Amino acid sequence: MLNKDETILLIEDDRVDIMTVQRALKKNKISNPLRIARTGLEALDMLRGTSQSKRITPLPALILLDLNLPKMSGIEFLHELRSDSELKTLRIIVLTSSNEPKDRAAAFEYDVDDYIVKPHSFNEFTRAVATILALWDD
Amino acid sequence: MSTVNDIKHLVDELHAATMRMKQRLSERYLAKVTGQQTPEKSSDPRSIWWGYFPVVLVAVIGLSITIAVFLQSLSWEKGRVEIAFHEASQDRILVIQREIKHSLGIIQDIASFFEASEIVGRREFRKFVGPALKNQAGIKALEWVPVVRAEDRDTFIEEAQHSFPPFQLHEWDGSGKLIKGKHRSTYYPVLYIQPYQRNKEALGLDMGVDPIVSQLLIEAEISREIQVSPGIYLQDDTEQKTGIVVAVPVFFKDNLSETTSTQAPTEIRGFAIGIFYIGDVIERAMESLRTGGIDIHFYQDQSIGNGRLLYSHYSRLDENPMSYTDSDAPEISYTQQVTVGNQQWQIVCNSASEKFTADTWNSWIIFFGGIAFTLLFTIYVATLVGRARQVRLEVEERTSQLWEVVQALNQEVVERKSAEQELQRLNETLEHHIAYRTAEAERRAQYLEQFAYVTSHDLKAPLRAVSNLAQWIEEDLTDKLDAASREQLALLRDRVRRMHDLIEGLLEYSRVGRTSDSESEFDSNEMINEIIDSLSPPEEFTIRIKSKMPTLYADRLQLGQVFSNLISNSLKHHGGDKGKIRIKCEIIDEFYQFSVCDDGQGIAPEYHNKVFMMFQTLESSDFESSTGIGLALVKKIVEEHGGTIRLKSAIGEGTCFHFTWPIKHASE
Repeated sequence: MLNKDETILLIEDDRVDIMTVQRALKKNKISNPLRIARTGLEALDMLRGTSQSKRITPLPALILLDLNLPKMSGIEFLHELRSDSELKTLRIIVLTSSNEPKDRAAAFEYDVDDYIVKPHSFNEFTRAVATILALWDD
Repeated sequence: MSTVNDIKHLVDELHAATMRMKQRLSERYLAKVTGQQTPEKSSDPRSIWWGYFPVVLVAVIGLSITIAVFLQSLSWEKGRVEIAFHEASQDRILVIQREIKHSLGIIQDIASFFEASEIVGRREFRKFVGPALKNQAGIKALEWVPVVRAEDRDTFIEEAQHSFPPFQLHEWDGSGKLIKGKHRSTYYPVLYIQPYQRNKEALGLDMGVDPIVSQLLIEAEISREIQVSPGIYLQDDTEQKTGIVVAVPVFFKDNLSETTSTQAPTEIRGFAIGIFYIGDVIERAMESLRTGGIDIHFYQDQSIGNGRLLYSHYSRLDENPMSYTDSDAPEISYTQQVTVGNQQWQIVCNSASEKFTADTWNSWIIFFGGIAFTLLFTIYVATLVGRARQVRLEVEERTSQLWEVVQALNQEVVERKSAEQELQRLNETLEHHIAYRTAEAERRAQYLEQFAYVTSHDLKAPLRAVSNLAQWIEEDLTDKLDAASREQLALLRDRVRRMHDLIEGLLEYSRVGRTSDSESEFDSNEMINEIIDSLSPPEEFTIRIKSKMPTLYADRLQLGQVFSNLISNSLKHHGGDKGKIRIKCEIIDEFYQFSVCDDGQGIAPEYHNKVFMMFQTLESSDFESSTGIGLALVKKIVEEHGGTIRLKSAIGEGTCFHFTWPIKHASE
């Protein structure tokens, strides 16, 4: 389980999907601070603190990453992240609508902790989030 | 579309080229056929006549040989006749010579007789010469002529008249009259003469008066040898004959030993003289021979032209002898020199009868036979040559025809080659186009897949959002919504879910075939059990594996998808509350044949093909989670891996899906 004050970074461009995650967390009574980046670049800025957006300190305990992102795709983001000496140890769970073996394989190349295909129904999604966080072994 | 047009264009071009070639070939063939009717004539007329050269040669050679053999035969025949003639002539000449020699021998004998006896009386002389006269033909007279000096004349006459009273010494005067002998220094009177009856007037005739005889006697005395006179004419009864006088000198015995040339005239005693008719001698000689058909002419001198003819013997076979001697030259002639005493005679023998005419009919047979043979052979050769020429002309004609055909064939070959090259070029172009097209098709397929992926991915997200939003509305307005609104929201979520399923199905369908390199070895039994677990069938359904399932080398995911889809299809469309599903496997040739059978409601035969088509479902779209993609996907996967799938079913008899899967090994 995550500590209560540990930050979760969600990198997601779709508002409804953001809402889905928020609701799922809320339903599972998880109150950890949730920071949201709309693109991979924005997420990198937030992690490095290089631009106007507020830097996340300390670094988030978990990153929920969508692969299909504008400007910088999830896979590109993973590449940047893993090449950054400070950031490469961050835990990442890929949360995507793609069920492509190619994407799955690419994601695991960058040592992600889990790969979750976004379930179609919200209930399933809630269950999935619960399962992930429940099984989290820190 | 442009590539399709290009290929069409190329094919058309190819077709046109083939047609052109065919047309050209047929034209050439026609030309060949018509060309046969107008073959080229032999250009060199000389060669025609050269062809007859052997004929002329044969004729010339045949004629030459014939003539040569004919001439040879003639000369051979003639030679044979000549040899025979020569032999016969020589025989005759020998016989004549012997006869003459014999005649001369008589005179020698008389001389010897006188030499042997001191005194020879008239009676002794007659007795001595008697046998000779009797046996020897042609004797005119045999005489004893003593040499009488002028002083002894009277004594001599006296003595002579004593023994034979009518003896007178007389001589011939120039006019042929007998006159009393004139006074001379030496007298050569005929003392004895035999036969006397025919030569009465010669008795006492002075032989020295006749110049020829005188000359003869002188020569005989000088040479002391027998002397023969040239031919003289002698009167015998009625006819004049040619004769010769033969004189042999007789000397006194006493003086013989001491003879000197100066004393010779005094020592001469006399002469034994014979006068012969040459003709009679010769005729006698010829009597002993068989008739030969030879005319023999005796000439005194060397040359026939100037020589005096002594005698001519004409063959007894000859009927009209004179005709030959004068006009006609003799066919064969033989000439020989003969010595008669001191005279040289030339004997010319001429053939006088058919006997010594060359037998030429053999030669003529040879000649005409040869001509005939040559003619026939020439005709034969001419025929042969004519035929050979005809054959040669025919061969030339055929050769030229053949040459044309060969040319045509060559042309054909060339054309074919160029056509082949063109074809090859077209093929290459075609291949190039095909390769290009294939690449394009692959590119398009890839693009399609990419499109499907992107589409499904991008479609899924908003769908999910719609679904979530609907649920949240429902959750947030739990108190405010009436039952109808809630049902509508539920229907909305359900439709969204169906759309999601469709998209998922499309995605999977598009994915088949591009993930084929993930083959591995696995136990199909285990895999099927996992699938059954994951499908979590209702408890009322039993799924049994009825045979030993193989461990095989295949794409586990896709084979699993096939089974998953077939089993779930059976579960979904069983139509009953409980049922049985059986799975089994057989090996047929190089394939596994898997079967998935249920005891459900079955499918009517008219729908058997339809079930495998995309988006075709046999039930209303309200039915839960029936997208119509499942069986299409199954069919695509099975066929993509080289297998086939078929359906065996009827209403109320359950449904059986049989599909084959090729047997592969890890090494392949």
